[in-house]
Amino acid sequence: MGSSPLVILHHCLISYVFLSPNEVIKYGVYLIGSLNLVKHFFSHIAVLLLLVSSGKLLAQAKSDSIVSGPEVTVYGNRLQEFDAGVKVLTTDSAAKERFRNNNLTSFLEENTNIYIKSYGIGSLSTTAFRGASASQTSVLWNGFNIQSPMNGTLDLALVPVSLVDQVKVQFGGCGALWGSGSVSGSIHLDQKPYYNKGLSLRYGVNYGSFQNLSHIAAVSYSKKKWIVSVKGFLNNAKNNFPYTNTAQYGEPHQRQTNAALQQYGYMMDHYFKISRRDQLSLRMWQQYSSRQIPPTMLGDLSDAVQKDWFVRLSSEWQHNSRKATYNVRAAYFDEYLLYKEKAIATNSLSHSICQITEAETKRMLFGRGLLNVGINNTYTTAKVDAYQGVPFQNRSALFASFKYSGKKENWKINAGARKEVISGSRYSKLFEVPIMPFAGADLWFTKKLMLKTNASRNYRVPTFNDLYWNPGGNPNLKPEQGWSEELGLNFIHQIKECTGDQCAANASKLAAVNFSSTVFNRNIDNWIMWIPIGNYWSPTNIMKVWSRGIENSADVKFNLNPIMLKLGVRYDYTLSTGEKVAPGHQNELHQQLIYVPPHKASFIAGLAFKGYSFTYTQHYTSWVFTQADDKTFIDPYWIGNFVCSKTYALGGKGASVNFLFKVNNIWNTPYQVIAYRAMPGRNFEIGMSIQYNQISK
Amino acid sequence: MKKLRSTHVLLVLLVAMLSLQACKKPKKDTDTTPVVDDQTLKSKVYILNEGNFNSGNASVSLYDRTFNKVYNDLFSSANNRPIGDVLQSMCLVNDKAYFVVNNSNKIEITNTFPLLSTGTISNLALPRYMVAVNSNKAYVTEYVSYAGNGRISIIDLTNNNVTSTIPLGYLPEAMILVDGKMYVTISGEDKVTVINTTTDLVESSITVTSSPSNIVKDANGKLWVLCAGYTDYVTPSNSTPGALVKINPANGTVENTLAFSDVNGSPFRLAINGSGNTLYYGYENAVYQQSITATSLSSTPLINRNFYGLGVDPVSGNVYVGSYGFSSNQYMIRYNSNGNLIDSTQVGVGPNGFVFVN
Repeated sequence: MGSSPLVILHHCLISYVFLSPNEVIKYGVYLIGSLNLVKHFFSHIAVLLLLVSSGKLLAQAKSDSIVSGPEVTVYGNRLQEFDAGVKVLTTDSAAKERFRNNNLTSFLEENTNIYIKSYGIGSLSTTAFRGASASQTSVLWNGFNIQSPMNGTLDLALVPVSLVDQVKVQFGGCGALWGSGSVSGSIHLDQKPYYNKGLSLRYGVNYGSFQNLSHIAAVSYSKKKWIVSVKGFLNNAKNNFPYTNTAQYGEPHQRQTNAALQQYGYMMDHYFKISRRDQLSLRMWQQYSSRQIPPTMLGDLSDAVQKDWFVRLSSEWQHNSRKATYNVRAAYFDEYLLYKEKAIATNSLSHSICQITEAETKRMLFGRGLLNVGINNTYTTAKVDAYQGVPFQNRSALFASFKYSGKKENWKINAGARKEVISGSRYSKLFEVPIMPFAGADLWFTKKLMLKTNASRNYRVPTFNDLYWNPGGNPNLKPEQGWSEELGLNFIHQIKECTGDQCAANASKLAAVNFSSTVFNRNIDNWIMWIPIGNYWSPTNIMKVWSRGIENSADVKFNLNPIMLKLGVRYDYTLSTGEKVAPGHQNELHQQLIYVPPHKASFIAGLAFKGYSFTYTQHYTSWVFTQADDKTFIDPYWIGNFVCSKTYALGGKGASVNFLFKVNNIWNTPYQVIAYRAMPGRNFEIGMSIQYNQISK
Repeated sequence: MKKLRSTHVLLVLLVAMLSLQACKKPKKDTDTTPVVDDQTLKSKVYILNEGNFNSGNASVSLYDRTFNKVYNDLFSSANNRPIGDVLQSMCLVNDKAYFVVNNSNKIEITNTFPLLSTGTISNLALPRYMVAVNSNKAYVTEYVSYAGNGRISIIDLTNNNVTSTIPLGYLPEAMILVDGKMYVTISGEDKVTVINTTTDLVESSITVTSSPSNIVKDANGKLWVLCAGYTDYVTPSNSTPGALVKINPANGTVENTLAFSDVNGSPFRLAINGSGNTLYYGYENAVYQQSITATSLSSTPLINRNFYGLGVDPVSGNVYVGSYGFSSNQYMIRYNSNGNLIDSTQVGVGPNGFVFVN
């Protein structure tokens, strides 16, 4: 590779990382206490301002010739622009409102058809998209990957819905845009700016079965040129639900033990239009969580407690000119995980620091084209008892995408690629990840029928545990990588009040029908799997996995003023099989991977009128295998949930109050998501939320 | 026309959907109780499948040596529930089977076939092994905690209650009853504790080498203790090698210590043949065999393969090993006493031991 531009870039970025005042010298040193955090925050801002000022000079030199131009237009992340051929599910704000006091686990379980692997209420939960592993789904906070560098996953139970403005689910690999980990899909947690809205206040409280009490609060104030916003939450639960333990002699009725949790945190989200063309945004997300780890139904005496706390800082500067935007953004994540279990004499503290710097530009090209070019540098280090020393990793990437739309907007194409190089402890030389291309297209056959298709190559770099765990860590692991392809059809039909040519585009809709069907295929090589080697286990790249399936949805909305009725059905079929297995694992060949349900379905019915809202959902999860040779499995289950709410306007001046009542698992179905992890039967939540918006959003 | 086209495309999609190979709904093996040719215990072998930690897939298989057949998942078939998490060992007393389920902190009691549950012994903490002192009384070693000392619980076999406990050192493991004395290996230390089973009091302790894990008695009445040694992955220089230690129970002295050369070889699973003159053990991913009269450790493996469980048929001298694996069902592999392969049969997850009934 020698002195290719990317290598030079990589070295430059490493030197940036090492020379920045941004705490680099403190790597490996524990950082506890808010004093340090504040210092941290300011040094972070200092770095950003430095970057901005240098970047701004550069940008000004370029844009001085343009006398007048548009105001800052706030672009979403790359997904919004380069979505041709990509299946994206944008969850609606009403659904989010129903889960304002819950975490992302229950929100996604209810509002999507993706499989969530959950160890219990409030316990560790991860996604497994399209038959992949949890670490093959990226979770991005405003475009920054927040998967743990240690195990590659993100616990969805640690994301309170109330802190996030919008949740999007992107299906399929998109490594060209998002880099490592975006193999089977990504979950996007985005913040959105609302300028000029004056003062907004909100407070919400929820009380649920098993002493589950949670509070949320938010304050924001926005003027024409700036926004300050703070959201916070506090959650306590005992989760001592009763259940019948079918795994024990005599099937005793018992209560879940050691399942309590306490969590609190806040997110600050500030935006400043520092000039007509420049916007600066600063975000800070700090959170603390302490959860007991409940035992299984098998009679183990768990007294384990897991504590997670972190601070995530991000800042972004955006400059807009008439034909281009420039973004420089940086993030700094400082995360701790403490696991304590007396019975096994374990008290282990893990600490990771992740520092991401990204710069990109989007530029109009050839009239209807948009080109995006950017660089990303991700520096990670982690201190874990089981690692020798404090390993670090530095990844530099160059990425580019180009989209082009047809004249009549009846087609759109998108092509991109990413090239990444990795260095770090235990890498004897720079490791080159192959080029990860992406190509996708949206094609409207008629006004009602649209085809979406894409093909991409995606990858996931080994986690720190894979590389550095002692004993077993394998420094010679290669990234998991492979190709995926998909083809989807969307049929959209709207019935309006009027017909024919006179019908205005904004005529009110009577009904809307939406069918969607997507087939996908994915082949992953170098799949990382831990296998026993002598006295301990070690990860290998031997396995190959073939995943394929189909996702179908049908939605109907009726607008029978004043009544709104919504019906939806989803059905996904997923096969994911090991096509090459490690020696000695022959009976696992061609078998469905564990914890991938072949069938998953859901049904939703919603009714809204005069501030009332009723929603019923029913979910089906088929059997999942719990042993790699498919000899054992968990029985399928149906779960029904019901929620109703009523909103009252208070005094007609932007204030309102909402009352909510939920029945979860309404049919009191006994079920397990993970083998022998008890789940609660029928349970209830009541909630109240009061809010004031000076100017409605 | 245009509408027609869209339905066409939808049709193509439907065909594509159907062409995906249907995933068959699985059936539980436990739905049917196995039909066993001979329901007596004659010539049977219990195979203990430990299961994957925290997965609840431990199971018991039964091998009929006469008919050369294996019956899997006996406990769950008979009782419609899992046996528990980490099936460590078993013990046959008074026509009953006692299954020690380590991480479920219990002993499951069943009849000897088809393992119908008759009760459990609870109030145990990380139990390891059970040995009957007489038909009314049994000892169970318990780790209690990885953070502190272990103990023995004394079980009253008439009502299955714990009557009292004997405090012991760190990680008490295997036991053997010789002339009214129970010899208990303390695997987190370097000693074998001797207990008078009449008074239930600790009498003495014999110092061996680090991590004594298994204990057997040979034809001459001598005890052999296999010490695993200690492997320190963080500071390798702290590691100590394992050893095979010979004890004379008559006077409680160590007669011989045969140390292994590889510090990380972790010798494990000591077994002895029916006539009590040949020892078998695992070391460096192989099975070794040696005479009780040998003055040094055997240097050539009998069976050169990675394995988990080890047993020696007291009648035929055949060597049984369980293949190593926790992600899927494993195999019981049989060899003759010369190490030649006889056959292999699928059993459960992590087969860790064999209990022979004549």
